[in-house]
Amino acid sequence: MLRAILSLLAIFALVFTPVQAQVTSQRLERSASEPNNWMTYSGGYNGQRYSGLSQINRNNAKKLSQVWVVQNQVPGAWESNPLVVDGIMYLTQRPNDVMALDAKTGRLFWIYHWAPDPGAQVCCGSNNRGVAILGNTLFMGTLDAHLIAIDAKTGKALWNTVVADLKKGYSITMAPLIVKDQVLVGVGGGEYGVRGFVAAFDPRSGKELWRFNVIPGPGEPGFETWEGDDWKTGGGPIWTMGSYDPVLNLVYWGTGNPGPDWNPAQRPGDNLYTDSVVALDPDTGKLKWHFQFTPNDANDYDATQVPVLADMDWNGKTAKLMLFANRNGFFYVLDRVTGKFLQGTPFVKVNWATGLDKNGRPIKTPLDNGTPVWPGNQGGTNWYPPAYSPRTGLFYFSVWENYATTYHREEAVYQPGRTFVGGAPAGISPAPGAPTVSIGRRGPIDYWTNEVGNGATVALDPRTGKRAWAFTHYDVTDAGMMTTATDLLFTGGREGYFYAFDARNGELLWKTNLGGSIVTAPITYEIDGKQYVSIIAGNILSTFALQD
Amino acid sequence: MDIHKLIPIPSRRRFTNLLGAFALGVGTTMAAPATAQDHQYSAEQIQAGYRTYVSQCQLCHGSNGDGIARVSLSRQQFPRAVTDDDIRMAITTGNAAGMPPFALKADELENLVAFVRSGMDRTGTEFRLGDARRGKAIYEKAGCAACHRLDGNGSRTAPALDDIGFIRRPGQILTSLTDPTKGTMPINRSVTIFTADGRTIHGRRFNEDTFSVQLIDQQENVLSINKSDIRRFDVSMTSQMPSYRGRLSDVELADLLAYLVSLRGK
Repeated sequence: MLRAILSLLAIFALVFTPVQAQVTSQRLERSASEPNNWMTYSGGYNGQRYSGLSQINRNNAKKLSQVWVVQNQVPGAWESNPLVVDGIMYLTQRPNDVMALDAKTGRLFWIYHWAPDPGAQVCCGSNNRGVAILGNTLFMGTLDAHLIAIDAKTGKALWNTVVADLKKGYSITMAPLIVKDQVLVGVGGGEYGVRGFVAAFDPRSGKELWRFNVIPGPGEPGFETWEGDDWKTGGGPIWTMGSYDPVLNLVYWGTGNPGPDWNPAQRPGDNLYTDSVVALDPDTGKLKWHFQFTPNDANDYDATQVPVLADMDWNGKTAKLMLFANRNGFFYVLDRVTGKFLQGTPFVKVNWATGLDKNGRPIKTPLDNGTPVWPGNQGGTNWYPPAYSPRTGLFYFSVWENYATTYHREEAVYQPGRTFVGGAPAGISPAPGAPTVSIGRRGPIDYWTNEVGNGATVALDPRTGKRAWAFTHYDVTDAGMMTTATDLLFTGGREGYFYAFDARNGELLWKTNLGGSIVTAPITYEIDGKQYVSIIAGNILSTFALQD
Repeated sequence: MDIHKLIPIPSRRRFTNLLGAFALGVGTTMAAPATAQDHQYSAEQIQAGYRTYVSQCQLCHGSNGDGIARVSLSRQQFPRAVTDDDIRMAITTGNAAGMPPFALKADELENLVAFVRSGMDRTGTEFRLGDARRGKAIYEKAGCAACHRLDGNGSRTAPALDDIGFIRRPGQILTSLTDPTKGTMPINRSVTIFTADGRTIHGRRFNEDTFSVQLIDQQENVLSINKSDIRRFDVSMTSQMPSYRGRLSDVELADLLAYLVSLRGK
């Protein structure tokens, strides 16, 4: 009898995940089976930002109301992507604080504070985009290029390791990625002539296990795409989240711009593996395949978008695909097993290339200095996390349209830790002679109106590369996406509106004005049978649920 | 690069600079640059100054001129310098706040001053600054207050000018005086709104977004209108301001520009 009870209990334990269980890598691989949690940056290894939750649907979305708010005391764009595990939200704020809070009420358990070295260099703001969790440990990369392990229950640091030398311009703004009991993190610094890399660390000790250099060294394949010593300052940072396919045992990363950014004449060659997606063996860090979107880039077209992995019908067969909307203005479909190019289409006006050849290589247009380049400096899209719904078969992302940038290009001189950009973008404008604006944030007052371009929330059919629908914003938008099993698409924009769309056709179902720019992506989770949606806007994180 | 987040990280170096500035008893000043002397800054000078800036100054002052706390080169915001000579002095001798001295050739120095005085105008619009005191008299005589408001006087039809020298570069202000249609900031274009309930509203926008527009109408009512209530929305691409090229002499334009550049808000 006792034995029977014990075995019953054992079965019970297997079926029902205990509250606050350890976050194992197996659990992360099966994240789709526990949609109540948002355990990784993208909500799952496939980068889809698709949630199986269904309480909020197309009929009741208009009843969403705010449940709680947490305020950030730090000025500047708040680009953190929260995680929620078993009722607890883990969130970062500038420059390198981690907060644990009750995801049901917003009340804080603890704050961990790391003061990055004041010598840390980040081209574009002291951003941090979130933490990763494994076991009971959180992992955060810092502006001064450390990786810190933090006890998820107490907020105390367990170890702190230096990933790269801040004096050479390295920094970390991305959230780490847990793959098979390793902590993977990449580095920023594409404006400082760094040699970009992603590295794996032992989660218990912080010891580095392997490192993949984006710029190959002498004797390595791809080295021939550089001349002389250019490779040493070749750039190729990895500053946004990767994706992982546990079945293929491949981890995928988009890589950043070559250095110097705007003077390609100074680094002749294709400059591998900048502006590419690389597929790595997560056990060794060895390169399995690569695909370069923008060889010898002249326009800072980082391939720093989250690679979205989708299994979908392709020419009559189910195929393992990668969907990639690139900053350079083209949307790509790749075979993620081999890296083979399947299709590529421009999703905004593009004039730096007339198209792609059969291998996906751009057919470049020679542009004179001072000619406006479409898409402009922020790209057709950027790091803003996209989403894919296996239900609608559509790919969702934020787009900047109707704007171009002219560039001033010049020889850059390398000095360690100093900007190495080779010129400057001379502002953005819709056409030559039109009002020009610097790329800086326009703020709550939009001086420049839509005359200098606008944003759009776009749903693309990956099979054709054509728009299924688009919602045009008056201002540009840097917001990320999140979609659900009830065919909702949540996103926002710079104007401070937070939206729920019908993911199938773009019908606007609900909106609310949060009064501050939305420059990150929403997440969703469930506690005690209630579904929540969280979004950061301005200096608040706001959480919504259906009215009781 | 993800260049649209431009808040610099806190830096000990900048904090020290700030302390240094206070120790010397000079905080930030929004005071007008003295423009008693007549200054002509050519396009060639400004553009050449930009090249010097990139190679010599950008490292610390940044691509937007705001890399050092309490200093904005693009907005003429200096802890100490007032005159062009002050700027030359700061460049050639350095200062206690930590700026090193720079040994530049005479023409490089002049070009750099022109570039800084232009508000870091990479397009290099040439301009001439005359006497701000005489410019104030021209402002009053020329009838600017018929449309613009300044110091609590004048119409609100066109944008208030109290801080125009802070928010726009000299070259942009000059363009607005001589070729208003080209110089107008898009948000300031005249709009005509026909509402679904039959009203016609002429005015100037403060702000616009996907769903609404905030504006001031010709009767000086401040309005916020939902786009769903608008039947037709016309934005005039032609400025209603006359060009003052020819109406004012070059000397008068230089004086008026000097006055407008000196308007830095309170």
